[in-house]
Amino acid sequence: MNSIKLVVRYLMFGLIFFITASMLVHRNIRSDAYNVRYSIFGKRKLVIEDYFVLDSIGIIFGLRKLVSDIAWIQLLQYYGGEPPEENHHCTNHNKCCHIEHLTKIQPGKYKKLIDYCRRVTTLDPLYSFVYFYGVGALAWNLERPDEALEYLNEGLENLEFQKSNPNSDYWELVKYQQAIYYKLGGKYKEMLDQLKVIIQSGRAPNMVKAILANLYKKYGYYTEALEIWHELLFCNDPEYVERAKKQIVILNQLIKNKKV
Amino acid sequence: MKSLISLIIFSLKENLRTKLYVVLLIFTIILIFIGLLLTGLSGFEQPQRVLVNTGIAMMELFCLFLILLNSVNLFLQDIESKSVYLTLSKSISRSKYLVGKYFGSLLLILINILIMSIIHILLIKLSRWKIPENYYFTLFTIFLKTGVVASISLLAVTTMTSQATAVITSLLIWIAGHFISEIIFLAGRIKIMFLQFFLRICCYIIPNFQYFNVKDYFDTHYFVAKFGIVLAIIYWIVYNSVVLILSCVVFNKKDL
Repeated sequence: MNSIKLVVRYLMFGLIFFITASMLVHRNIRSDAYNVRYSIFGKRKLVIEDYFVLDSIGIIFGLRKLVSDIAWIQLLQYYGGEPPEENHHCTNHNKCCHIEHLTKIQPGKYKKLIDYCRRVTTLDPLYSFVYFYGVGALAWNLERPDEALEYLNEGLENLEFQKSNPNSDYWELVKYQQAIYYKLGGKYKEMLDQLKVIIQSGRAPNMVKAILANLYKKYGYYTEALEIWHELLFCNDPEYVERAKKQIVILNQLIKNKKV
Repeated sequence: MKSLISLIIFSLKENLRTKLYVVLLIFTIILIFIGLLLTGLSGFEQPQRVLVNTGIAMMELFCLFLILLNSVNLFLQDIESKSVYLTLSKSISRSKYLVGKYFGSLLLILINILIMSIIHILLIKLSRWKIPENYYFTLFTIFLKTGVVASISLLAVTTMTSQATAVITSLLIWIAGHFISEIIFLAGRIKIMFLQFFLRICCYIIPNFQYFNVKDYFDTHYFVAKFGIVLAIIYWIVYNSVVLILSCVVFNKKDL
């Protein structure tokens, strides 16, 4: 009799368990927003084969964010190093300067940059800073606005839930989109204004700030360029501080010459 | 009740005394410090994020390995060295012994999360950054998640006699628990009825760690607000109760 009671008790527990689990699992099926972004069987794929093992470990151990940070560092190493497309070894490091290339226009270089960016955002689709960085680099440094727009659309898709908030990263990305369209349409003045708005929001990567400063310099707006470099002089990144110091000297000279 | 509390404290002390615990703790603290080095590599663009994520991930990994290696090992040692008889002879039932072990493990997880979060918070503060908004909530979900692993590893260790098998089984369940969304996706696509049925059953049996995985999106308020903590706690209690009951049934019938 006791054993029957025990079995009934276990069955009751089992039933409660299955009802609760079923309720939660079905809720999970409907919880769309999360799964659509994180599922690796859907649109998102582990894009770079070399890092397949590392990325898979991140996913299967539930360490997506940690691995996405490692992927972000690897992206910076890829884009911070020499372009893999050319076997160029510098003899004079000061002249060659790996730092400056981050803001130089280098069309056709770093062909895998979009894949590196996608890798980070496959692991962490909500990492909005990578969208800003990747779109900025692809559109203005590497002169591949089509790729930039493609990546930007992925970002907009992943951040769509922020649409109702006008101060969100979603609308920040829309500003990048507008700036790229101005660039494609040849409206450079509007593009510069839009980039200025992006920088004023305070969420832009240092690289985008440097891009705008260079564009200002290119189009003869020396004072505006100088302002941005002055701002970069106080950022945490020693690479940009060094670059800012050099550019401030050059721009001051250019402003003097212009006055003369 | 008194005997249960004594068992919990005994289990906790037993865990804290092992060399493996100290080694794991020191190793994890070093890894949290390594997070600081990684911030330097992150190009000064997102340093706080790297430090916070590394620390949180290390805390979870540490709790996981602690449960899998230390607790499982101690339980088997108790049985092999026959010291379990000493406890069981003092009018303590086997189920109570097991429940005591489980709550001891939970307390151990709690203490470890506390120790490591203090170190982590100190590092964040020393770097003059802010503690993220949902940081403590994330730690709580890590506690829930590793609590599930603790009950699973107890079931594994009572049903299997080898430490390696118990550890591997628990680890595989941990991995599968992060794949529930994918399993659901596959179940929806597969056209073979038997496989579909099998996968759907798996969704119920394997713990869904996505319910506790707030650390994937703790910096996004939208998803945290959508996270159903009450449902997660209900799921946690029910899942752990069933697994613990199963463990007790197996342990009661076991020849020691």
